[in-house]
Amino acid sequence: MLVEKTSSQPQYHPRSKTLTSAFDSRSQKRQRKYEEESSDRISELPEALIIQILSLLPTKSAMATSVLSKQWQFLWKMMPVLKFDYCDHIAKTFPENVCKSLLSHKAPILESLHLNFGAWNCTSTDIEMLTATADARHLRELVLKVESKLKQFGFPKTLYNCETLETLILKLYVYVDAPSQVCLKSLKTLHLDNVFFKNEASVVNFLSSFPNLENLLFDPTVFVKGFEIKIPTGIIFNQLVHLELCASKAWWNLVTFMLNSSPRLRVFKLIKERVCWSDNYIAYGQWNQPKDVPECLLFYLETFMWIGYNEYLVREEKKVAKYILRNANILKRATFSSKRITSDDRLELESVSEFLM
Amino acid sequence: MSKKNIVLKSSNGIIFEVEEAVALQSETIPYMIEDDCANDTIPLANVTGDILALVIEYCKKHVVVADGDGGGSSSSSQEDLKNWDAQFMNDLDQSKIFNLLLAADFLNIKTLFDLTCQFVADTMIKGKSVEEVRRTLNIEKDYTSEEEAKARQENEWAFK
Repeated sequence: MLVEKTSSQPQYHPRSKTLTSAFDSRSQKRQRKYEEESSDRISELPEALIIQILSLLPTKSAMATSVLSKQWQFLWKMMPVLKFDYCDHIAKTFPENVCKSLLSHKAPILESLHLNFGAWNCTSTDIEMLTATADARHLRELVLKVESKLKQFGFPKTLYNCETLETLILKLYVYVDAPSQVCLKSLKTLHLDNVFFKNEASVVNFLSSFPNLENLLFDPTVFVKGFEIKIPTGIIFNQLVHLELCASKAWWNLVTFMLNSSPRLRVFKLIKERVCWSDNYIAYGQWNQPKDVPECLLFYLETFMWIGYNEYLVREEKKVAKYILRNANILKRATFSSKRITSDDRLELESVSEFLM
Repeated sequence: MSKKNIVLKSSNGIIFEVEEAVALQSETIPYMIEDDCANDTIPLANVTGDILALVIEYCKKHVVVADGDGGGSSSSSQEDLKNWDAQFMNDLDQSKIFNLLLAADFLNIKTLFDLTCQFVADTMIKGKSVEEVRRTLNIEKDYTSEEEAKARQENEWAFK
């Protein structure tokens, strides 16, 4: 934005012309002296600025500008951000139409693609097709949401080879079947709202796929009872600084694993807000404290938050909280939010946290 | 420490003297200070006096007052600022809005640039029919009816 613009110098046009626009009718009493109302100011703007303005519109409105005039025909295709929401379109062929629009998109890099589907107008195949098309547009950020509580979708396999993707936010029930290790080497931010794994190999392969992750929100919600996930070893998230882990009942060996594998972790949030629909599907775990104090606790962890208890603190949870408070050397802030935290719990936690910086 | 003032000169020769903190909301001005002598007037060849006055009015309202603890706090609450911004934009005619947009871009004042772009998007395009947008923005239709129909067909689902 520092580029000097010589052609776009604002100029006075002292003779004001006819007021025509709806917008002007609101301010018609004001300073007509410098107005030049019947000139097309927006089309004179540098193209980059028009594209900025278009990017602030719902993508549907931006696309509709293509019929304003010849100059506008292709402008929306240069937008770096596209947001498609099924609520805006009545077409039953929503995924096909999105795909068609993506194919005609011309920007060299697609910075961000937001897709919001209803469960009825979307299948795993549609998602594969769309992610493959977006991948070809050098996608940097994908936010994919499917409004359904029941339908599961496979993790899009085309994303496993996406070299440009930096942010992936999946708000849907994702089923991960990862028979072999993959590598999303550019991925820095990953949010998985609800994720199921096919088997142990999928857990290992999946977690090994993001060597440069910096922010992770991970909600491995439902596990079939008796299906004990053996946590992989040897995976290191060297860049991970911000971790949010959701669990209906804490999946304790995952907590241990993540602390051990994230030596640079600065912010750690444990979130337990969802009431699970059936406890039968939860693998209760036992907290085994790490053999050695994890590196992140010794040198990096500054913020620890535990959000959303709906029940009394159970024994295992207190053990975990106390362990972190006791061992996090440079912890600056610890927050526990709960509807029913008791004063005894509070005293117990405060007694171990008196050394907080 | 006494407050330092910066002198800005518009393209039509109007001089504005403002506090440094006000002027430094522009990311372009520091470069201009470096390039010239700091005591000299900074000429802004791309911005006319009336628009520069608006830019300064905005920057004065949005100046962040350092609170001495290393952090900063705005002189007004977020809610007040939002209302003020809305009123500020509503009072401008279309010509000024586009000149302000160009000035905010040239001076690289991100919040003002975003505010202006958002205002144009929300009040001049969003929720309007193609005809209404053309009228609002005085865009001349240079399509023949056939060409327009073809363009419309290409992105047909955007009009449903």
